[in-house]
Amino acid sequence: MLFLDFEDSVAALEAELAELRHGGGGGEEEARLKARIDRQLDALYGRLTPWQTVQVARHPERPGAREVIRVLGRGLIELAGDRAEGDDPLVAGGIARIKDHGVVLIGHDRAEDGAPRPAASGLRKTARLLRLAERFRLPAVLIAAAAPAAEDAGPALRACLETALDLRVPLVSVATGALAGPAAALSVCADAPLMLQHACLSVVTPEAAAALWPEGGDAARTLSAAADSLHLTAAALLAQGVIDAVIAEPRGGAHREPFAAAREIGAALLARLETLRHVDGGLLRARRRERLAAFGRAAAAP
Amino acid sequence: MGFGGRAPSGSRVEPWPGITGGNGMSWLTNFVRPTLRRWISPRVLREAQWVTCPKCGATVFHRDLDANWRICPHCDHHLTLSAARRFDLLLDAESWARIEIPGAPADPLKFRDARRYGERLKEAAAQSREAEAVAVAHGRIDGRGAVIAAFEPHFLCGTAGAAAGEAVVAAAELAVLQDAPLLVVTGSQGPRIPDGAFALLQLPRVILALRKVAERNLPLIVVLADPAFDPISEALLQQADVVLAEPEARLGPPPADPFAPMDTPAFLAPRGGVVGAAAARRRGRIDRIADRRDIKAEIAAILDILCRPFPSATILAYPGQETKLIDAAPDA
Ligand SMILES: [Zn+2]
Repeated sequence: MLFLDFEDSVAALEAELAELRHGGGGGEEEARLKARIDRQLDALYGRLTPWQTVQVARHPERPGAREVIRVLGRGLIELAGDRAEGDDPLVAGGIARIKDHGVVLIGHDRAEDGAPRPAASGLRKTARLLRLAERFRLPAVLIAAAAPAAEDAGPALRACLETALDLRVPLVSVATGALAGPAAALSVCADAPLMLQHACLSVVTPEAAAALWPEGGDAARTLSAAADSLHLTAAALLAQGVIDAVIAEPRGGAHREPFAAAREIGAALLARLETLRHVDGGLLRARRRERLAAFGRAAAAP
Repeated sequence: MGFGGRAPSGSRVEPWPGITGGNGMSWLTNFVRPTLRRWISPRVLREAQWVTCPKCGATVFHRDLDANWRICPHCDHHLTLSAARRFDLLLDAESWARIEIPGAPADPLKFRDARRYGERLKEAAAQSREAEAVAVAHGRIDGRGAVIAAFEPHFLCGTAGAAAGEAVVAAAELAVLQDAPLLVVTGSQGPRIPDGAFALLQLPRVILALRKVAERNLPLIVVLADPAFDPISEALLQQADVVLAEPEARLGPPPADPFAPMDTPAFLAPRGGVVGAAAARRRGRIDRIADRRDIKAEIAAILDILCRPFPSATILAYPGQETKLIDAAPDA
């Protein structure tokens, strides 16, 4: 387990616990320690600052989209390729069943080193899978652990968004990691955009936004201020009406119990799919477009 | 008859043993034909054949090879498989029937190179026991109706001319008529040059026919089997919903002589512009690579999802699990 820097107290307790177990373990003592860790985690994760949330969302052990998809999709049949020039390994996709629904599953992953990669091929692959969903009247599910880099991928991103906006089948998205950049918009274009509790989504990364602050200041404080100002947490986006609902994470974040987190995502998805599948395709599309039309329009005068 | 003594490509005699029903003459037929022919019936001769794996060189009794779906038991190399065996492989036993293909103009140009094209056609028909280079059948795949058009690599190397185009078009029309998914299995070494413009125009015909399948939202699944060197296969790959490839299947431009024998080391030699399944997958052209013996199960699983839209029954509970949704913003 990799501890984030605000988790020092938990790290110390976990070390103590490991030592105790190594020495043969003591029933009562162990239970007491565990309870303290739980309390400590609850306290920490109950009041994460936005910048801490970004760190949690970027935690390397946080479940990736591909893993989530593999947990969700029964009998997942992965499909590869953008049918043009390549197969982006950071975009996973395929057809599977969630409960009894045939679905098209798409996962956007971050590169292991976190560095942005050319994403045109991945976005074309996404669009291709969305078209498959439309053709066979299968709901589409997007699990976004990251937003594909949009540099040099403008046309592919545009085509992908257009395909998403044209869908007459339900599109449900779950942002599970730290999403930033133009391609993050894809998640919001869903009929039901959902977010994991500690995921975040913003127009640019806090690092990029920090350029707006005067130079020479304390870097950590600038980042923290930038993250605050971007209002990028799930709770903040829910309040802005950007997303539809927040999926609670296991104690101490999804990276502590990836499997449980994936199950929560599955349950939330299923609930949304059950509602959306009764809605007529044309209406679904009209509503999706209407919802987007409202962003940026000044509220009508009373 | 199939014992012409010469490889179909002309007077060239390949030093490699041929295969049952293949266009390549076996060394046996080439070598001992004059004496044997007098007293051994073609059928017995065919059954006496041994096949040399073009990849590892192992010699396999042809019936063992056939029982293994023409996958070399020593190195797993997939040799070209006839359309008839392909139907056996993919369709449920006793569930299927062939479709008679409306006649296409045979030898419209009265073409003649070193040999008469008409002669080649007759020989190919006798050897492959197929009427042309694409055969069509309809039947069931794990109980689900489907139409299959399979290239016959052993009929003039699966070269695609008027009749092949007509067969693919007929298969597409049948799929629309039956509201069934369409499967196409590749296996062609190039366009059928002696058909001239008739061969050329099959590509646009096929594109139009496939569009009708797409408009009806019927799945088009393409099985990429070696070789796919003709423009029709190329179009199929582009229009397919899902492309499954056999492990060593290749696609690319046709060789100089599209009638050159297959399943020989020369056939497998690398050539400019030709890519294998693994490279094609990296280039985004195909979805999955699967062993020949697993392809039916894969297709069945794919069709099971694509052909079943939302269930009409309402399922409301996800057993044992409640979604914890935070509906209000606690501290935005
Ligand atoms: Zn072999």
